[in-house]
Amino acid sequence: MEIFEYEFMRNALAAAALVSIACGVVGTFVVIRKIVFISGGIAHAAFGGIGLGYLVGISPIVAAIPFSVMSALGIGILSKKADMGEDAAIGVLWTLGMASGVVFIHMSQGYAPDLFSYLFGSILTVPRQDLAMMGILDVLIVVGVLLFYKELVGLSFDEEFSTVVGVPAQQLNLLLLCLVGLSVVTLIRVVGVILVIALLTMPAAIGRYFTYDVKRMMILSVGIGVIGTVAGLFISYAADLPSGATIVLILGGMLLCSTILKNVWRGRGYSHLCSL
Amino acid sequence: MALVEVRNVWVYCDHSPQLEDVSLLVNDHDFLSIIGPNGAGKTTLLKVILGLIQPARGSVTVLDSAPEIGRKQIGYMPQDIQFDSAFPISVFDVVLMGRYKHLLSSYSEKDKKAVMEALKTVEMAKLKDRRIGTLSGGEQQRVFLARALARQPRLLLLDEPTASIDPDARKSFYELLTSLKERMAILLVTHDISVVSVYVDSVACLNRRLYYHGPAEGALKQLEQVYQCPVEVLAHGIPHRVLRRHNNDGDL
Repeated sequence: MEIFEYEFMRNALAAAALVSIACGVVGTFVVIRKIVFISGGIAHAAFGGIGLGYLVGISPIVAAIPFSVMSALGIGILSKKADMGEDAAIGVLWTLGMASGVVFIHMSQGYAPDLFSYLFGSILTVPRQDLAMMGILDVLIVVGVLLFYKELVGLSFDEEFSTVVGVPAQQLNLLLLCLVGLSVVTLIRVVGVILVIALLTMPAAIGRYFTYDVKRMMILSVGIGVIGTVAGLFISYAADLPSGATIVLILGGMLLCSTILKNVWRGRGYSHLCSL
Repeated sequence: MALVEVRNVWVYCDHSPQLEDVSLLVNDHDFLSIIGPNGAGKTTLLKVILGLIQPARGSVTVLDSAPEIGRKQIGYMPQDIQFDSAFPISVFDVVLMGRYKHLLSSYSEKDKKAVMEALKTVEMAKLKDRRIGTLSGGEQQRVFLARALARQPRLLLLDEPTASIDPDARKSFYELLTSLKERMAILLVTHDISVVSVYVDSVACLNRRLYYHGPAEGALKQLEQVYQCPVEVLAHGIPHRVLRRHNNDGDL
């Protein structure tokens, strides 16, 4: 396979593996905790950080880290404290982040050649230093989830009971949103802020069909993420299609197939094959 | 020793009172039922005891400490728990949450034993590996009771535990509770008056104010005032039957 001799291809495969870890581990909680649209809000707000990166001349991905963590905390705190309601808080931060990104990029006056790749992703052009950072973020995410695994599962299932038995619910809810913020940053290079939410939901949604254990769901989702991103990578390379969108469409196809498969199994009484 | 002491508690929600000057005492081995119509503040009172709602006035102690501390020795079973029926979790793991201690602690063999014991108590041990969402309403109630029991609590707090289950399951659920009362105090919130005369020892009638707090026998007379409609009870010796008197019904 000669294409593996290209550095960009090796980088792309590494990126596929790194994003799959983030989207499998955090995506599982995004799905079972039902914070898909909070995550969408955090992803779009991160665009403000990308714009800031252009403006001050640092790596947009690095600038996106504080921006998405701050917006994660902002959504978490606003929706609980400000009498605003969660969906309103999401709407506010989603658009404020995007708007400030646009203004920052305009102010930076320079030409922003890879702006499109931050919006829609470009797995074939992930630079080495970004891979290193994605690796570091993955480590933070995995360590955070491992440390607070049973609390996060408990909160996702029944927040009130968890609070009564002593789980610090507020703090851990914010921690989970911060982990979402970090995984958003990890994913931006591959699918872009607009499509991030696909990777945070689809692999986990597929994984949930085939297990009823949260840990196994994470592992399955990581695997499904790898299949989806690698398949999308090769198809987009071979057919010269935009890679981020191709990956999302492949995952969408996988989700459709597994939904059909599960229903066929259930209809034929093979429900034990798919955990009912 | 008083397990729970609620003193002159007032709770407001958007300036309208939910609880007015409520005082309540729960002692060891009590089997107490708080009854009252919908919107009477029953769940609010439980949440005050659990430290989930701060009263505007008055004080609450649980096992001589603040509710946030004392509640760790309470086994709590919330009102019809809203969870996603596709949530990927087994019955065993749901009950295991009842054994939670603190951050960074892990579940021990002792915790797992306590879970199995609790599941046996509620006769759900054989379903331990099933996904919780695949169980019936009555089975889920039992699992949530097991989760509360797994804490080996001093006090069991149950919020409308039988609201969503059929009458047969309800009867066996109450019989199960009766068998538990030797081991712990039980505080039960319900609008199901039929439970009062048969199972519980004492009753508190709540409709924002506490109208009565004492032995079950005396409570039935007070129910009219709480419900603000006549309630006729057909003799304590004939259980399960509490009828409302309707106009033109004549004598029953």
